[in-house]
Amino acid sequence: MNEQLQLILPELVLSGGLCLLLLADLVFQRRRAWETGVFALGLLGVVAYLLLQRFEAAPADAFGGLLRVDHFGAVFQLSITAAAAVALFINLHQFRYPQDRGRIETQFLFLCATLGGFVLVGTQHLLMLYLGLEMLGLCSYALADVHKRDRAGAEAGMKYVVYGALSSGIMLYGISLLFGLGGASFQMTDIALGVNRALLEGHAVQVLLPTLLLLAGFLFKLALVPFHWWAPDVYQGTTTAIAGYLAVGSKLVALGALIRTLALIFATAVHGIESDPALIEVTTVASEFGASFGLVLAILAAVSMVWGNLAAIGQTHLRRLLAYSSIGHAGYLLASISLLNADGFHAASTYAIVYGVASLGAFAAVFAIAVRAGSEDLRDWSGLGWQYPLAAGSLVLFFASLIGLPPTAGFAGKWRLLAALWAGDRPGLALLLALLSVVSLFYYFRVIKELYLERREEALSPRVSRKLPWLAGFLVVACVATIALINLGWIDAPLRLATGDLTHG
Amino acid sequence: MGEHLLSAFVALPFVSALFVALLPKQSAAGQRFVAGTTMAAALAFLIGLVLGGFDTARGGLQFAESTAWIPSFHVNWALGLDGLALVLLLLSALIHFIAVIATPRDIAGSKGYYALLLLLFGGVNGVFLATDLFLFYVFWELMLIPMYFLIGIWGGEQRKRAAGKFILFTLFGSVLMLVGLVAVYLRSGAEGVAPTFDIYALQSQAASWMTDSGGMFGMDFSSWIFLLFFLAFAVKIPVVPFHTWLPDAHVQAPTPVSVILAGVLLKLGAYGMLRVAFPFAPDAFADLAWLVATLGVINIVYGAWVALAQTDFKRLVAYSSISHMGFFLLGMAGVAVAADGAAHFEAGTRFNALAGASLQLITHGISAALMFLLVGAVYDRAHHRDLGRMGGLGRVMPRYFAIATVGFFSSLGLPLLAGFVPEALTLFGAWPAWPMHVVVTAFGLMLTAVYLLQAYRSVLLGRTPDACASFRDLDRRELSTMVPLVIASVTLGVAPFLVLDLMAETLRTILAGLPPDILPATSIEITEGLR
Repeated sequence: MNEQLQLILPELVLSGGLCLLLLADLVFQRRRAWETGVFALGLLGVVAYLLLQRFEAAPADAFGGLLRVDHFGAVFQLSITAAAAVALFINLHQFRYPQDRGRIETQFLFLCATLGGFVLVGTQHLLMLYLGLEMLGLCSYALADVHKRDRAGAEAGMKYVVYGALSSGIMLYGISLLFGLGGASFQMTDIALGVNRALLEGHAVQVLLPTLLLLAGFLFKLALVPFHWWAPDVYQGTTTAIAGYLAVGSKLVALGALIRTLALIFATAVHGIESDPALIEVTTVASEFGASFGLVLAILAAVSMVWGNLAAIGQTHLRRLLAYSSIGHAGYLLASISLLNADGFHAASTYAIVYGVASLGAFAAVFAIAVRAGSEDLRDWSGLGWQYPLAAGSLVLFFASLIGLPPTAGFAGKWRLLAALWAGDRPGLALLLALLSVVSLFYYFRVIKELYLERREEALSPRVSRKLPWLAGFLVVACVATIALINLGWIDAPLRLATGDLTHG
Repeated sequence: MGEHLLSAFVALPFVSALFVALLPKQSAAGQRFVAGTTMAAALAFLIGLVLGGFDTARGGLQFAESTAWIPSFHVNWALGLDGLALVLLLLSALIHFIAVIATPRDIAGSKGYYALLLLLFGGVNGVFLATDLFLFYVFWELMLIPMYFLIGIWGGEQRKRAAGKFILFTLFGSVLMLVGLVAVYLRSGAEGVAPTFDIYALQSQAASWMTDSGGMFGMDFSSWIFLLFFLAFAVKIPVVPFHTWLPDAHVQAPTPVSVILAGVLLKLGAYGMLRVAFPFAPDAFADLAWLVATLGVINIVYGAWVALAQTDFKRLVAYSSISHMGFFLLGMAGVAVAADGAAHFEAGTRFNALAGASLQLITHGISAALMFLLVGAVYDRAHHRDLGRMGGLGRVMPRYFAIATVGFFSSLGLPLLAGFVPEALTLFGAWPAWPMHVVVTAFGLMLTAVYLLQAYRSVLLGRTPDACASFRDLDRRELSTMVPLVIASVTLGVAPFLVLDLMAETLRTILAGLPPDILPATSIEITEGLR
């Protein structure tokens, strides 16, 4: 038992910290405190350190297969930890809802959601997966709905909850069907065997239905068409801290879990299962199923890519713009996943990390400018690039990465996506992705144009005059990471090893 | 140091840019000095290479170096210098140096300006020297953002629109190149060997792609590659109908940036065609040579035709750039000839066509840069560029008159000035394969003479309007930007072999890789007779 506990040390530490944070609420007798913020950040630091230890150890199952501790999960767990840290820090500075600044409840919710994310991406057990998803989801609903007095905020929170409940209900139904297919087991490996048997007997429809139902929960978390409607309103209606957290932290863990699920259950089914001699042979039904399921994913991806990028063009509110662009980026990720092979999963997980760095950086940079300009509408940002060289300069770099321009990591990531799509015989999708990068240039450069090319008559009298040294430090780190990560080899090893473990394709 | 000579050369502008960025805001003179010294040092280094060190008798790469950079994609930091790259680098260093001098001393936001100029210079050098396709692309894209800001911040009234249009068009080309990059990279690894980005390894593999039927949408692989890369570079040259960004960008950009744009950046598209688009798809190139020739002639005639209608001096020069770049395409089409033309067709002709096309890049770089400086000098005095409101400047500004005469006539292709030799070589080279195209081109040349002489008359000759009577003549700074170009133009007009000799072996090497595969050494070349 002791060894088992050792395996989940990061989760345990996080849970312990959560309890202390709740106690702190009672001790301090006030709604907000800087001290708890610093404590929460420190806690995340410790957790990140413990997560790094996971790269030293071999993958293992914990608690009879309820949790899975491996490198693949650790990468995504680290990414949500980073997103939570940035969100907490921004929250300490945030200006739009002063009553929420540094509030202990908010800090608690961020950490709790992160714990949910840990479970979501760190399990091969469908029930645990659902629990993780709900834990992340419920905390996110509460976070997004902090501002109920504000009409836009209330609408955003409402939309988020209703969509979330609907999609998770659909997902739960899919899980129950798969539970039956897998011979009364929630283990993904068992379900894979069941799915493979069903395909062998020619029951493609019985497999396709629960698969699509299962997809709903993931589509919602990733803000993919047709479950994307909440994203723009929620990103705009809440604070930058929460928007950044949802766009990066929540999205990345959901992506990791989606890759794990698809790789374990369906890709193995499509490509044959080595452990079972009877099932190693790939049947025509299985490959037909793989092709049609892949096609569904590819179409969803294409629609999301086009939708997100086109809808972003007209936006002037920075966070709304980033919301639509993140729908587009999720489309890129799904496009690569739709190949249902190791290359595609690997490319998607690599791009997810690259996107995460650039996107988190962009949210932080937007915040750094907005907190001083007092507006998140880009029309109020004329000529501010000269006034805030670090924030605006790094924003240019992050946008370049999101567009996919060298010498940034976004370029290498996009390159890998294109290579996977081209090699996987989807040249049309590759061309579409490449051309949409040009479309994305429209709206990203509109911001850059406003910052640098427009001239401002009188200098802005800053709303907040104080310096943001920590945020500046983060921006510098994120800039360095954005350039250094062009050498994807640095993150290749954990991701390749892990996705290689998961698939035989 | 010896084996990393080119790395140091490529790194120099980037280091200088960082240095400029660290200088205090107020020291505009210091920033200018650093930028100018960097360009001058680069120019001196290249001249040193020409005088000793660079072996003109060798066609292949010299000073080549390669270090693993991104092992997971087989990307190398690989640089190498050959004759063509050397000549273009010389042009680029000269033009960038002149651009620094041509920049007004009191330019606002000088720190960013000079840093961006240095970044641009570094990107250009990298593109010319990279022998790894991935690295080539990285440098290619690196030029995009500096240029965007140079036009967008320091440009004229419509600068925002022009900068946006520039970056959109260019990125459109770039993403097509990116898809092409993916395709050739994966194809190079298809036969069980490690995939590669080495441009020369890919070139030698390209011959085996000819028989490749593994294409999509009813096109073979070679045609795909050709189409993707051709379109990518066509935007940069620019080939009609992808040219519409150019007049806007030129007119809105400040004079030094226009000079760089016309003098260097347009050449990069041509360089890409020579290095990548044509050698990677020799088969499709031979099949589609008619298209290249036709687009070339359209460029020549259309550019001249539209220039004829311009009243804005700078716009006129911009369209003349489009027209002149058409000669490059026509020359290249003369290199790859249709199969039925091969009978009365000799390798020497192909060499002439290639030499003409390559030389055109240099001479146009020089004369276009000179023309934009001339436009800028008038604009600084008149504050407008309307040809209808000028006249008689020859009388008030004698020095300007002398230099402008060289500029106009060099652009027009007068013998003994730079413009003549490449155009003549191109026409000779293209004649056996594309006689009808050459005839139409002759019509375009007439148009060129008409619009240039018209502009010449309306700027320099005739009655001097009162508004122009008080113009001061060119000062020392302006002279120091223009005189080197005048000297270069006259030198290349009288002794084109100075440049041709540097490139000749490289061009033969390139030629050996292009269809139809005839060894060029067997017949007489006109360029020999030019000595």
